[in-house]
Amino acid sequence: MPSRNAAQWNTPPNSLRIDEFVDSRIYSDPAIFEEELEKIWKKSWLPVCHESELPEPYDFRTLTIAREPILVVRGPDNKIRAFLNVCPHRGMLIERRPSGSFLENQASGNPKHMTCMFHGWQFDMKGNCAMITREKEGYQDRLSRKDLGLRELRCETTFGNFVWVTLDDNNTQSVNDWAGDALACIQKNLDAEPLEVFHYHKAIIGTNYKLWHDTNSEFYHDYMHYFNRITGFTPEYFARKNVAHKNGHVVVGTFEVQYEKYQLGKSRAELSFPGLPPNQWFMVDLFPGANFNLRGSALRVDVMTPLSADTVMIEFRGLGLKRDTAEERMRRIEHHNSIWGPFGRNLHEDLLGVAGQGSAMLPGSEPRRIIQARHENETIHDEVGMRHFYQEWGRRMNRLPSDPTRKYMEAAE
Amino acid sequence: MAWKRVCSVDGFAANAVRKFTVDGVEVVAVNLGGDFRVIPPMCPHMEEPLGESGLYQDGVFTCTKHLWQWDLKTGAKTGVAERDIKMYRTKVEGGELLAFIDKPLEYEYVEE
Amino acid sequence: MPASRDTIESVKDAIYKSCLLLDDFKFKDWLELCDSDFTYAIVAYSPEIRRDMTYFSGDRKQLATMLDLLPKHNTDHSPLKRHATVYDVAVDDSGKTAEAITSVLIYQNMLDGINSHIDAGENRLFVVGRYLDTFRLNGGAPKFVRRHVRLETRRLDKGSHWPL
Repeated sequence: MPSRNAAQWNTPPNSLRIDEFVDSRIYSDPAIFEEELEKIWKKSWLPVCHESELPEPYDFRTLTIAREPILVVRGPDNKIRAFLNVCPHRGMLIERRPSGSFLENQASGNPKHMTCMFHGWQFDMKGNCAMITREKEGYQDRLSRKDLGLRELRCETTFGNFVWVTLDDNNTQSVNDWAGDALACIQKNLDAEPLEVFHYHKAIIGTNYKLWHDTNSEFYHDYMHYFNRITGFTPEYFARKNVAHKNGHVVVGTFEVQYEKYQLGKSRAELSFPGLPPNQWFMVDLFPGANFNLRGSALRVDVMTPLSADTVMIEFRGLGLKRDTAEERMRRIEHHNSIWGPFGRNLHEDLLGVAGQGSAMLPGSEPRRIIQARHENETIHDEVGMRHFYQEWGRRMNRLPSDPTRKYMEAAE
Repeated sequence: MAWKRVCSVDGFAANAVRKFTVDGVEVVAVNLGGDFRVIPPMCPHMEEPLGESGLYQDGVFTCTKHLWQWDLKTGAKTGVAERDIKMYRTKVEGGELLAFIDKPLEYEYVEE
Repeated sequence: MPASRDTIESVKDAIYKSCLLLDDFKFKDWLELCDSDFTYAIVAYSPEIRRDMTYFSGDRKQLATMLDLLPKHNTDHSPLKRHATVYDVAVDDSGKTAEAITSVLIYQNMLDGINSHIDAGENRLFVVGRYLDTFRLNGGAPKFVRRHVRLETRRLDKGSHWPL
């Protein structure tokens, strides 16, 4: 087909429907990014970490959602709670480390408390303000500890005992209400036995978070992976469904992986997750930016933290069963690493793809059409996953993904 | 027979604050300058380990976290401290510091 | 009996030779420095999950296969270059094995980058860590029996297809 001049390049083909492409400005416009933080990231449930990262009472983790610092802590009652990691006094970050135990003594505070180092205010694991230094001397009867507890955030430990947090008190949906349909296909595998995180690494990539999510939602890009081409393109593969669920989530169905053809030796058939037949696979893409990827021997979970329109942090976790023997665990780790590890086959290639997209959609670059027009009976190379995501996005943002300067409207069928 | 050996007096410097485990019971011993006191290991305020944070000088024992202070001769609180310090009976015999530890002395802490 | 200076130097030579070969993409020659039972792993401790992790592992055969197949893979073309300093070599009493600790910094000399027009030619630090090497000493050149690349780095961005 001939190359095109500017006018031709900028005119969409007549046959493209408005839900079959998006305008690249949704990936590059800084104002849209800020709006996404307000309208989407601050209002959604996010699986921020796994309970095995804070296994004992008084253990904690820190993280951020939409720039707000969050503290996740397990209380002496074994319940996991989340708070804004901000001291009610003068806004200091209370805990600066990524993880640890509040059972330990602190430079300015006591065991069993969270201490803001600045003026020594202390809080307990339920967010009560336990101690204000020289309280009566400074505040007399006007202000006291009981007025100055932490801000607690809605938090659930569920679906494989991931810790889910939302910044929105008004979000009356539980995690199950919101994503239960999408996670149903793997729920029994996640909940059968306690899980444990064995892998953690992070990537900060120069691209918009939605581009990584798109790549997790579509499998047409398997063409970029050598082993997928030579082992994976079977009739069973092409029959797998790509299914939309309410609230913008997408699930891609099961898949008999032909590992023998890829010269790495034994099939991964022997080791599996409870209740998951060997060599089966499910991928759950959760709006706005998390991914549960369950293969025969390892669960991979990606969670994104968007940093700007053209930068995203992705945290990659790999999980096995808490009861794994050393040998089983090593096999899960090897299987996980060979495809999804930072020095494995696929992940590097996927990240090259989205980083390349990001470099071509920097803030201020010309608006371009990004096509998502594949229809194949909602099977694996269908792009229904992306169209569904952008329907939800369009509704939440009240912007038309194919022209974000216009208000959202349902695409004509 | 609840008189138990805490440590040797020899080498225990004046004003030193040291932690010991005596038959499974943790205690802190303080040398007041010839006289000794043996107290529970945690501050009665907020469970601060006194073996790390306790300071004895000029006749006053201070928990350096929030600066509660006591007269260790009697265990009585002074300054901003709101509770007294509990103390085990002590004696020095044959160069050894002994404390009468029947059962561990404990404070009640407010748990939310 | 303390190890001879020669033995220690020969171990250091092997380590530095491995760096030269890896820098120059001479993977077959690098594997020739390794004994037949050689195992390789990239490991790191994560304070996030408070656990030791293995980021990659393989034996000599798996590494050879992987490196053979590499040209068929889409990969970033920015070469990795190492700066290494051997901190310690300990030879066991029998004189038959040695262990070494080497500090290593690995840089990417950007070629593709994100946008090669802008990024190519820049050097960026990729990972920091240590080579923890075990050698068999047979009288000839020391042979690698095991290399653990113990990384401090857990932010790995695009990662890499190449051995560290």
